[in-house]
Amino acid sequence: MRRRRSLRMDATHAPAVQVGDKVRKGQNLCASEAETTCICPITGTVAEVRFDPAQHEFVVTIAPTKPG
Amino acid sequence: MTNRRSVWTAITLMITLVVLAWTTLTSAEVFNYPTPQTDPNDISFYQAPAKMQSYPAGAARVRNVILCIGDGMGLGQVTLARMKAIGAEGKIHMQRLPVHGLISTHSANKLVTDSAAGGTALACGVKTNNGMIGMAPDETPYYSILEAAQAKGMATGLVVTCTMSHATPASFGSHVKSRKMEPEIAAQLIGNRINVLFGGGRKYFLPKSHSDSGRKDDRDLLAEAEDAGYTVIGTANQLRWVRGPLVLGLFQLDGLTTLSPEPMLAEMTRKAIDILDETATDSRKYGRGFFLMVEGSQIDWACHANKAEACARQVLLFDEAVRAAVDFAVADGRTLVVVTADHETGGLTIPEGSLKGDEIKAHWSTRGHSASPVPVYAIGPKSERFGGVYDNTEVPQRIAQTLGIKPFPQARK
Repeated sequence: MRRRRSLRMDATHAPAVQVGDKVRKGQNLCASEAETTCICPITGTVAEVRFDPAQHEFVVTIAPTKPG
Repeated sequence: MTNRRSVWTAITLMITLVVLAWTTLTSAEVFNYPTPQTDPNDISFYQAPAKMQSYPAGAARVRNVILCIGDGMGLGQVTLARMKAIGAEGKIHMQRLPVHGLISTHSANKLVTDSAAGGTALACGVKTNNGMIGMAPDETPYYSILEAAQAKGMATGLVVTCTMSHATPASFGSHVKSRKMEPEIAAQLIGNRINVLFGGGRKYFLPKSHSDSGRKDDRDLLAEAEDAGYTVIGTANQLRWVRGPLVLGLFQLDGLTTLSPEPMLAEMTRKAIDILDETATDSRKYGRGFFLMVEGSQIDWACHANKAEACARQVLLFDEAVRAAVDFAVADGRTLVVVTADHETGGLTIPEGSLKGDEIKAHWSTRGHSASPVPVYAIGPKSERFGGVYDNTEVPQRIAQTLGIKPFPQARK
């Protein structure tokens, strides 16, 4: 069974995705103007976008697509 | 007879309790926080200005400078706080300052800045790339206005509600390639012998052997600070009694909660001013006045979460600190106070609401920062130099001019 995966990105720019968005493995989830790219590790749905003030980062959690 | 004695005992006990409660309340009023702050959306602590007119402008020589920075505080955030606290007809304290300006906030490599590049612009007077602290894009470190003031013989201080080593305070007291290097930033802050450091982030001062440490080495910065002459404190009660000239106050492992029993930003600001003013008055080494930076760090955090109530509360907590600075400046007559922001967060506008300030609707256009210009408010001698529309790098340049510091900006050799 595949587990949820989280991705961190600098919070200066909002993530390119919102809760509920379908995402694919390899997709860049960072805003186009961000310093870096943030490659989505799995195909699935964005389950949560949380701000982490200590690191000044967004934590984007992806729930994997259930097998067919 | 026994019953009568019991009644008198009960009455005596009640009177004692009332006296104790009254003593506690009146002693709490010294710090203007008569009730503990436990609700992250409660703004009942806020004391609105009694008058509508501007504070008077000063005309003397500048001895002290207090720079107040609202992290992420654009005009939308100020307006939201004003509406929530007073309504459309009122002004919060920072809006009562006699000089108003607007500054642009772009960084060297991006239209939308982060707090590292924004802080570096406000501290060092140079543009840098997002993420970099206290240095130009080519990694040449530049003196901050705090360091320049220190070199001039002024006492210095940083007061924040984030970790002490977060991007904005870091820009005034350290020089690193990345804002992520908080353990290194913490070491540089202590090494720079900044007189007053109040905020959170104790974990970056603890050696890795400590279970709460955020460091990857064995340096115990609290012990190093004590060896260097700092008094190290960690509670609001200790804050009330501590004396200078070197004080390190770390009130949380991470960022502050901005709730009781921590000291509030205004309380830390008052204490920092007391210590710095006393240090500058009593000490030959620091006898040229003081420079203090105060940051309302968590306005940005509330806006990243797109939480209007929390945003208003954080702006008002910051405004209470501004009031503390202005009260001192008005009484002192030789203190310049400049209030501004490093950038706007959330793209906040207010499309609906009543004139009384209820039913306010906040509209957020992003969860990140925006490139909107941010306000400048100023009071005190030479405050007229801070009016107009200009670039954020000019804020410390103009402060340097008022203090007779030149050249500024200046690279560190």
